[in-house]
Amino acid sequence: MNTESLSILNIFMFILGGLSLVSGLGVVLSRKSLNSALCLVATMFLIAGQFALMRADFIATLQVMLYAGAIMILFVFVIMLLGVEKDAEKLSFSVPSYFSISFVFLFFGILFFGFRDGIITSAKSIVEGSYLDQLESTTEPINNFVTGTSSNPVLVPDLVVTPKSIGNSILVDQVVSFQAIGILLLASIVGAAFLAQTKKAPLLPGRGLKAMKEKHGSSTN
Amino acid sequence: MNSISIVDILIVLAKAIFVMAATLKLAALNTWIERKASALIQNRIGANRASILGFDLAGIFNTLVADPVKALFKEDFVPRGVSQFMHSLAPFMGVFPILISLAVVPFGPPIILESRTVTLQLVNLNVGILYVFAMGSLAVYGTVLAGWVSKNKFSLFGSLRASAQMISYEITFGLSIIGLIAIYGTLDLNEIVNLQSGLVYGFLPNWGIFAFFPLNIIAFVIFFVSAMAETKRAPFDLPESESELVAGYFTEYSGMKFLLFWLGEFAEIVVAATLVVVLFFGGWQLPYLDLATIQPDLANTALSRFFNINFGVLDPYIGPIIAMHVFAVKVLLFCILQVIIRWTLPRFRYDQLINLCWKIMLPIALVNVVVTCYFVATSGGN
Repeated sequence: MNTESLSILNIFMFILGGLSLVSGLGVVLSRKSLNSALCLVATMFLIAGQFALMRADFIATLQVMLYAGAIMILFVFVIMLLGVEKDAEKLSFSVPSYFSISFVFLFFGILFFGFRDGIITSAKSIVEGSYLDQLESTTEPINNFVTGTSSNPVLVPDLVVTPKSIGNSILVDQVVSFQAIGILLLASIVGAAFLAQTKKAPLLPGRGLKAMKEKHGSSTN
Repeated sequence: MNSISIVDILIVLAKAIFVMAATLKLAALNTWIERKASALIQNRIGANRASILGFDLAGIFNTLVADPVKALFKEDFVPRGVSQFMHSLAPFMGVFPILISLAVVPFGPPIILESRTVTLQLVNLNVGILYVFAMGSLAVYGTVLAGWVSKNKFSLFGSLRASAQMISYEITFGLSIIGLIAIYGTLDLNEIVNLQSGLVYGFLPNWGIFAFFPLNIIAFVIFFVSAMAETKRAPFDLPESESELVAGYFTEYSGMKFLLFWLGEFAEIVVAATLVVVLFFGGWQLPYLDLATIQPDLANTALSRFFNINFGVLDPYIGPIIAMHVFAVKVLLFCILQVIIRWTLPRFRYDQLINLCWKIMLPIALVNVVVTCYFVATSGGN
């Protein structure tokens, strides 16, 4: 498909991108933490939709299953059960908050100038639709995806991410770094469990069961 | 094929509407099956009050016309001090993921015409089964949100029970089919169904349940029990156990919103039945008859000669049409089986429910995965 007219994929890409921006703003701007969490779920879901449009089905599905399905439900649980709502304060600006805001801008500034060329090229390719067109022109299955019709569904070029290619790259090519990440995660789990462990308060005289019984008995008598 | 013609878009739209309508219709039919089957099991006369001109069609007017109309006219009750938007959002969040989760299920062999091949599957994702699981994991939000926005202790308890139950059983749900995926070497539901054609040992259909003979029967039992637990119905209906929690997470819902939760529950039954059929019972495959390559010659049948009409134009559709009916019958059978189980077994206690998942089914599923993978590796499979 030529770049003169917007293809269907481009239109959907813009719709999903705009919606995910809106819901991302909702995460930051909404006052209630539960609303923020639900907006974050929506954002994850919409980003998964963009992955699916780029024919990265596996990543899209994992995005929904892990982020929207598993991690966010824990967020929602914490909000519901621990009552974070009580701690929610009005948005106020103080010296530390100005400091952190400027730090955030600095961080993203460095990120932007560091990857300026890459960001500009990828933004251009998204706006002009050349990435999707490349995907569309080099792959038969992209038509298969959109229309459900294909003459040759076996042809799967490199641009299309399949579970098999991901499995090969993770468990064969990058197996050392994969295992290293696993050890890192294990270490962080052990660390979190250690930090969350509360020391039992020592049983001081006068605070034990016996003392309580005596106290109770004396008060009733 | 470089450009997308309007016909292609129409085909996709037609398939999308078909899949959605089929799920909804089966869910609606399920409500009727449920009420009639429960009446038969409890030895009483079921829904038979509503009738049109004296015909009640075995209670079908009761469940498909009278009940929804009654629900439509009920008061839409929202508890005080509750966000109206969130209260309305919860049932939709519960129903939406379930209704779209059948998009990847193939319901027939491709129809081959001269110019194009129409696959009888809405989207051919190469991660098929994972997509269904992803949508299933989203369905928890509906129940959790419903319990939270109701501002009712019983609702919150119900939704807590529901979410703990759904998250626990998702583990065994996923683990039980890893062996099957190792056997077939693909996540694509279309390929999984295609691989289930033909026979094993000369007489058994080559369905998923009979692969590596006793192993996959264990996997099937675990999968089916987990799927039933995911639907939150008896014997797993702890989230809505009316003797303790009024009605669980939808206590504060009435009218159409309540009906949406109900519809979601029945759609979940349909999804569970469909998954069981696709993974373990050959999808649209009919044993002893290969529907994908069937070559009927309707132009030369007696019927065609008698009416002097050329039925030959129907040739490419015969295989897919039979296959869709076979698929529908299989799915309905598993829906009915779930209804029968629901009205036969008493409710679990909550500790029994969690013990069953974590102490009995999870170890069995893990051992099953290891043993199946061992057999796949030694038999030089994928």
